[in-house]
Amino acid sequence: MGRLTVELVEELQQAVRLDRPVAGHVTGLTDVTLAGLLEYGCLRYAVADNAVLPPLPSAVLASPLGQALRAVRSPLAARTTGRQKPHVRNVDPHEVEFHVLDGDEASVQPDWEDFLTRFSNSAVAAGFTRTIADGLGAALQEMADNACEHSRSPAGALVGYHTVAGTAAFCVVDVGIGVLESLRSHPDYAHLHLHRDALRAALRDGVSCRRLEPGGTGFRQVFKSLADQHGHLRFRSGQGCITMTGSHFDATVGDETFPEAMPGFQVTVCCRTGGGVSAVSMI
Amino acid sequence: MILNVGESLGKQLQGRLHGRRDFARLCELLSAEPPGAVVFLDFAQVDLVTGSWLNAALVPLLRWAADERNDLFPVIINARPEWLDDLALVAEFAHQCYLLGEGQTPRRAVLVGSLDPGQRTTLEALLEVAEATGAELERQRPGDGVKATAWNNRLRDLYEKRLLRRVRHGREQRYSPVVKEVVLG
Repeated sequence: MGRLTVELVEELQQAVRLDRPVAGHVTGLTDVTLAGLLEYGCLRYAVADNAVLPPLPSAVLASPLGQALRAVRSPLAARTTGRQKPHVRNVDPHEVEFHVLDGDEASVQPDWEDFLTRFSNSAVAAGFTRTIADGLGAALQEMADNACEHSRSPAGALVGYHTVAGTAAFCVVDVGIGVLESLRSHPDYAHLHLHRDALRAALRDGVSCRRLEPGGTGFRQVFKSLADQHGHLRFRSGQGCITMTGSHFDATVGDETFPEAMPGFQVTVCCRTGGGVSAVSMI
Repeated sequence: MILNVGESLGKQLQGRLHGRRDFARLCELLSAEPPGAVVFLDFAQVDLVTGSWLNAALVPLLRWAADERNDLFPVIINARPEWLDDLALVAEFAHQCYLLGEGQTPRRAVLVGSLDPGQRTTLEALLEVAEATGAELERQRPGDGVKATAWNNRLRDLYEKRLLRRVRHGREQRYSPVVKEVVLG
């Protein structure tokens, strides 16, 4: 019995670095969280060795999260061959769903817009007001735009959401250049050397790697969408990770940890109403 | 002209990439307006606007409007208070100012964005007299100790910020506010 959470992914990654066998642990997993599932996909992409880090076991893939993940084809998901998930044209709520973003303009395509609407509708079905649900949708749009514009991920980006009564969570993950390298491409931030510092800088208003036009308001929308809610945020890039729990977030709060290096950028946003289950349980 | 933004672009204006697309659409919708026209951008039917969208759509729109080939004066009307903090932030980052009104063709608007003290004094002076040239302001306000050339420079700055309109009278430019009353923050 075991549940694949982001904490476990970090432990597995450390074990891999120390050449300790982890395959047995993975095959014994029976449950998974949204964030654990997607960060594990990034880790497997980075390790690129099935013998070291095996695919997810059938018990996990049989879960609602696992089944939804199998619907998409992505190097970061459970299936890398076969047909891509077709465009779902209705906007009915789903409990869990995944979407692959591939290309600079993937986050303005009709299939993405329907996915985004389904997420907002799912948050409403989970008990959030339309205003809050649309704010969460706007936050997801910002993170998806960032991944498409800045990540330079060789595997695209993978997006997932999971809603249950009183709780809505989404993740956007990629295995691209990460926040540090992206920000350092701007002369104003070329002095940054630590992933933690780059993450912290990126969360601030007005900080962007774009030189010719203003930007840097994407994370503001994430904070704004959660302002009066109970939330849990996780931003992981390279060897930096910032997590925030509570409400009324800004760029200065949160705990900083230093996990093993992971390529790209992984964002998790979890929001719950007063009566929702613990946000952390979906991380 | 009153442009119904919600009807033209949608009820949720979010994301940089959507903003870029919507900037092009706004230019297209406003392209037939004659130079010097005030265009009211009506956000009454818009539920949500994000900072990224404003950066990608509204910031370049104001620059496009200030181009002498277009010479339009956008006024935002019926914006929801929820996104005014984002508008103020974008105004600060982009060094722009926006006029914000209520109703269909408001005579009064709130200024969002910063003016330097000289620009602020000039706007207040012009709001008092409704229209003037730089030379007239020098004559009317001797106590300010500002020469006509300096008044004209400030008036031109406010014109480029799309806060004043102007018409040529002989060798002079005569300036007037885009709306009769401006509330300065």
